Amino acid sequence: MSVGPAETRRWARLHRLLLLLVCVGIPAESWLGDDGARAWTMYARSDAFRLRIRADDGDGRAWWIAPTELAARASGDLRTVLSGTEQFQLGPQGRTLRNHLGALAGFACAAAPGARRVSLTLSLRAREDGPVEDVTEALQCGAR
Amino acid sequence: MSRRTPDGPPDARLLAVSRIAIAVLVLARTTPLLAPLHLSSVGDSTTLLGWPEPGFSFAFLPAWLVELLCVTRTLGALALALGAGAAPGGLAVAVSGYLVEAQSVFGPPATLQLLYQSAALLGLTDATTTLALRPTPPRSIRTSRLLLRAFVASVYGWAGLFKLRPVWQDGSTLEALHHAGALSGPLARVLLASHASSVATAVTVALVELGLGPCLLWGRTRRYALVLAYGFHAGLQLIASPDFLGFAMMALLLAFVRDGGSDATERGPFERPCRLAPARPSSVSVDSSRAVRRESCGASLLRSH
Repeated sequence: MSVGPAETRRWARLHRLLLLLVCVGIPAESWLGDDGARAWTMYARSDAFRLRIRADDGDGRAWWIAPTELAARASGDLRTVLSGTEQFQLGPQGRTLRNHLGALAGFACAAAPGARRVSLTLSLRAREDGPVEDVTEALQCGAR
Repeated sequence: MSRRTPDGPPDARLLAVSRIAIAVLVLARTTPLLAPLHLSSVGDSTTLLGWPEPGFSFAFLPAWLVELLCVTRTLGALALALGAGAAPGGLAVAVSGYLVEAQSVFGPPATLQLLYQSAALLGLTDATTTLALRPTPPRSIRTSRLLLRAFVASVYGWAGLFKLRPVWQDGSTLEALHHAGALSGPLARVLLASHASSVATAVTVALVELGLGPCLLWGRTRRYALVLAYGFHAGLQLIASPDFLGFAMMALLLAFVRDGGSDATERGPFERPCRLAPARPSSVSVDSSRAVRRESCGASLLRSH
């Protein structure tokens, strides 16, 4: 038993709308609006990225915090992504991390008791022998 | 004559197989079903994917709500697989899946995006008319198939388009992935043995992805494109093991496989569909070629809906 012609037309219209949405709308919006994460860029969007975290206690004593140390206190994907980023890692997550360095700095403050200030430097490299782009975010831990 | 199965329209059977396969892949990817196999893409987790854990995260929804969404996603996938409430099931998979993944700033990986979107689309098409506990009445097989075919073609198209960037075309990305161990095996060693072969591989992959969509959509090249597409994904799974993406694409490619004879859906996308012929008189037409043409169009339309 099939539906009537009017309902068939409604379903056909819905299918065409969905076609426009998933084939054009979502990927194009992602391509233009962010880094193409929803535009089926997949592994082609991979960059090398490395994270360095420096803390100081305000009295001239400074130390490095390993991202893997932060990873141990993180959950889900963040734990996986942070783990090992002392060295350059390859993946699309580096560009996403860049947009969340501020929040990560807050997390680093919480993970480094005694720190008065933390500074995160994310290094991004598109090619293995290419230039490194550094992005730094600093946070006064007491100011949080 | 139209070939109609007792429990669904012609040509919907493979769409239904695609629906079941996608639902099973969602279950395999988001539940601990495969944890004993220790697959790298699934992990060893004994909870549902995205289940809240202690520790710092960027989650913005309360833990209880995320847990509820994880369960909803699983129930939705079950409904989709069994064909009982497949439309709401598919939508539940997509909405709850995306919300769970939104708790991570990194968002869903391409495989999960493909699975979630496919689940929603398949639930809303005639893939639910057969091989289902509660089959829906046939609604529009032609646009159902068109939607799924266009979706698959667009995935290839966008993927190929992004690979036109210089950083892909000069082989840098492939070489970096190879050195990082993301591409491995004997085939990868051969294809990426030198810079020149890396460039050739990168350009070929981009061309294949850009060409697959149109060739799959065009009836005359479809069967060759299908063979190429299945070979392409088999090769990728061997070299890159890209999560379940290849398996999901192989399931969706069933929308291009002929299942019920040549029909209106076998036409290329740019060919005009048959117009509905005026009601035929009960007497035999004196113009035999015209009568044949009418019969042909009538049969196509019957098969299309």
